Amino acid sequence: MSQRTLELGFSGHSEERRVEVPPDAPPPWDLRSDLKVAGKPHPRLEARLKVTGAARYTADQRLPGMIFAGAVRSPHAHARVRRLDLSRAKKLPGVLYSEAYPQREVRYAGQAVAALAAESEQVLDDALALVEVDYEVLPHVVRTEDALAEDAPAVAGRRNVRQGRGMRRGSLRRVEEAHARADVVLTREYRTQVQTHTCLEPHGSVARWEGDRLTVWASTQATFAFRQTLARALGISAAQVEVITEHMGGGFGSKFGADAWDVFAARAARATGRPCFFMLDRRAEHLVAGNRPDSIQRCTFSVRRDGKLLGAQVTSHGTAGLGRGAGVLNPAIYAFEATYSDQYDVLTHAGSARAFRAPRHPQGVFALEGMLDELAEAIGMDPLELRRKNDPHPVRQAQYDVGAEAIGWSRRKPSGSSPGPLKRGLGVAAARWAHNARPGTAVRCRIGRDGSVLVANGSQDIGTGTRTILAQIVAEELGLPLAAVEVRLGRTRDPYGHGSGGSVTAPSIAPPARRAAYACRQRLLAAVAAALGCEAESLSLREGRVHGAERELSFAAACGLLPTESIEATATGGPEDMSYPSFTREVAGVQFAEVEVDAELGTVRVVKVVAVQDCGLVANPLLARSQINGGVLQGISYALHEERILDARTGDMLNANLLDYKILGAREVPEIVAIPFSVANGRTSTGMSSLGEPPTVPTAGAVANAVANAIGARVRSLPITPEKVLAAIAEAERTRRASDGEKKKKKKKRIF
Amino acid sequence: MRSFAYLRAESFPAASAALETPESLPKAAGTDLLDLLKERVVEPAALVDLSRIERAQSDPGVLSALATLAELAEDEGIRRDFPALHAAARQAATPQIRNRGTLGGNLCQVSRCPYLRRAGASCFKRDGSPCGALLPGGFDRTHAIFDVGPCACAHPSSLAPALIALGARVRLVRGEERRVLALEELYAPPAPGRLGDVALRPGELVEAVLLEASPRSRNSVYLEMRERESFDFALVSVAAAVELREGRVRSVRVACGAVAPRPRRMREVEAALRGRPLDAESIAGAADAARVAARPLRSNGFKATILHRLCVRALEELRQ
Repeated sequence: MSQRTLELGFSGHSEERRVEVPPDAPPPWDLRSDLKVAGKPHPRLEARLKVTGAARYTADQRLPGMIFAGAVRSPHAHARVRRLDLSRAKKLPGVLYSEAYPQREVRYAGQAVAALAAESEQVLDDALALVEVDYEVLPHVVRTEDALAEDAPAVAGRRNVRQGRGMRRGSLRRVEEAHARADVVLTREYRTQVQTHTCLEPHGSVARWEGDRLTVWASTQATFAFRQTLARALGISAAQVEVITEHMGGGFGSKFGADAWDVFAARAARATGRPCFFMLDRRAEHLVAGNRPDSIQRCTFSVRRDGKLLGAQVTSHGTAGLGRGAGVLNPAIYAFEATYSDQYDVLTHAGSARAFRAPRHPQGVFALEGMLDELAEAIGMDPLELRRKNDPHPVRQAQYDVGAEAIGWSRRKPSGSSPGPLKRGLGVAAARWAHNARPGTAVRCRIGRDGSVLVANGSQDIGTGTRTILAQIVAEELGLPLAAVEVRLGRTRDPYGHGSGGSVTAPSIAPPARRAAYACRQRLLAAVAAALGCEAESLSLREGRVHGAERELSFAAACGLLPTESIEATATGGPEDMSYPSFTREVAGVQFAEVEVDAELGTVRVVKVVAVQDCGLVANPLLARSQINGGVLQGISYALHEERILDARTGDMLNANLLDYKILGAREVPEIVAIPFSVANGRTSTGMSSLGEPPTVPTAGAVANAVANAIGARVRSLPITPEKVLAAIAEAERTRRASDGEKKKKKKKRIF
Repeated sequence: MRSFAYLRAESFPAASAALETPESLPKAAGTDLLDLLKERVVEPAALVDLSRIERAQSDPGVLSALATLAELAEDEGIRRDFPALHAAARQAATPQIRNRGTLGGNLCQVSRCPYLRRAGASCFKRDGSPCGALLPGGFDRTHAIFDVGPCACAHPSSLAPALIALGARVRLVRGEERRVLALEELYAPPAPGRLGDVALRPGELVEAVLLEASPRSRNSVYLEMRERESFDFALVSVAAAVELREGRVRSVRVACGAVAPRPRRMREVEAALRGRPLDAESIAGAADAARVAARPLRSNGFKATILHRLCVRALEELRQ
């Protein structure tokens, strides 16, 4: 163990911390580290491949002899399958394999009842149309509110409303006591919609057998979990399966393992002896591949006139379809005296939810931040001031200043005071996340006698830039330029890595990558020490050279002195480099939005978003900004456009395409000022924090608050559509007129 | 999609003759037709491709039905003499679709109603079954607020209201026969089996749109409200053309899109303006008149509000 003093925190707010560094680990990077490659703005390594279309995604695979698979899906939300007849489809020339799923009941529109594999996509399409299914339609319920009704059809078991473990938190008694001490207590209902993941690359895989070994190209955010679930479903050992994910066209939490269609592709490939391609079509993507649950949040919040937040009480109901996990997460950002949340899943006949970029957070924060603005309005306090008063996080306190300056918060006018039909408004919202660095990821580093450097890990780059970050870390540790390091990712024959969920990937993969490179470096220096005539400890590696006291060698020449063809080290993230005391326990973020509302037509245009996001130590400012931009865009899209629309009568989805399911497009993109906020938190040897999810958490809340500031009326329901804006304005006008009427009456009373 | 025969027509009369075969459909750019084929909403036995037909020498008052939206949007003469058409063409769809999509295709396009566009859903126009939007629990947010009968479809064409306001006529061709109609007469009420809402006879095609430049056409405007700027269809569109003489409205045409099963000529608005000065008062009266006949469905009352406000904005732009 060696003792080290680290300088942790951020510019203008740092402190020294003594740590003990294990002998085989590099000392953690901190504010004093003078990094040359890590932390620098290198473009993503595969950028050129991606923008030229040369990057091969799973959906691009075209193997010799490949066959195509697809499913017959129920158009009914709830039905009994009376008869399922594949005989006509199977007789069609070119149909090679089929499976029927003779379940008694289908319980959501889109559920597969049969699947086929055929010679070509055209034969497949014709064959799917020939499958005969006789459904007896049964009562169903697809809307959360309808499912709450006493006489609603039961979806599973007797009750549609369920409360799982951990879905009731805090103390109702303490919250009620807090409310009793308050000057203002407000009760409001906030609602959010079901959002589908809408990954550009759909779910699916291509399977190929060679003997008893299976290779699968998969669009997955968890190569190893995919391998495990697929092997289990096929009854083979994971060692027989190689999963390859070279490039990934989006997952957002919906691609954590092998799905039924992946298992079908593998079985069809085995049965026919030909590679099988099964990617979902866009409709299925919306129906069966996951979604973010909706929510109805009944909030009672209280505040003292001086701005001290007292009680926060939230009762939420939401549907995850047939699945679970529709809770919301809200009051944790601010220091309320007491909080209480009571959350319920409401079962409906709809496709199950899956984890979706910061599950539970955006919906909860939308309500929380709306309530905060409503409380601020009620006590006549600036909303940013209210947040500053109640936010215990030192990083967010600094971010409020940075963001307020960048958006020009001092321009903010009282809500509803913007004149004319085009009204501008400003809003703010915050986010929290955990430092999710998980032990267990293994990285192998190899230095060849020819001077080559290879770093390998079997997990995937979901699109965040993992490949580039790995190269930067290793190049930094070996004192090399980025181009000298080759990275191999996304093949399960390489060392284990976690699924990309919880924003764990970069924070978890960087420390073992650094330690593997560190180990190689020590061995390389030991091998060349004699040639340079000094002790290995006195040598250093920088700028592509090994520096001794008097002599130096190029990196390539040094490698040429290696006694073996190559040296190799594999390190696994563990306590030795991932459990130092950290500066903060939570990742902090703040966003400001400026909107322009056409108060006559109800349309909202986001003009500008300032996103200040705690990144830990910034791995790469370009990639960090890219993550922040993506989070903000997905957040605006959620705030204004996206919504799964199910027909209440049939339970079928009415907008299962990319025109009617409205994703924000190029012309909706505002000016985004993404500010990666660097904090040396010291917890791991590389200091990177979770970044994938938090930037999408506060966006909808900030946009909604800006809309309310612009129009002087609040839309408490997402997405903020023109009709909701117009209704909110009309309602506010009615209230104003009524209260003006009251005042006049009172005046009259006084006169007479 | 179902397999089909593909026929490439060299001329409108030849295309028209080919379309006499049962279960055939014309294809110009095919930007929407391909989606309808893939969804099996239409399953023609033959497609007659119009896109290679040689276009006649262009005459400023005759727009080929095969002109692309991009060509219309870039035409200086159109911008000068028919600003409403210029604005409608410029805003339609996406750059890619405008580069391929045609004037004729835009006028004859099929409603965006999700029930119509889903094989198996309940739809009056596809097979005479009850309109899914009008059934209990149905989705009617984007549908018509005028003239809703057994079908609640809103007509999606953005060029049609602009051209109706400009007093355009269409030339139709069937074999060697030609006839000319006022554009609003091209459209027919919803009927089972007629997805496109156009009153074309079997084998008949739109060959050209005829326009006459006038002081009224030069003082024209097209406005639309949609939820997304990047590729979306209007929820409400308004086109107006006004000729003022001595400060009074001498002649006026107003039409709206996306609010009725057909592009709707707004005669009540025209009547409220004719002979009056175009001022805040007459504009307010005309906008009020615009929604008198509106009968919104359960969830699209906001379209009447937006129609009212777009009418005000459109007419304000024509005050000079």
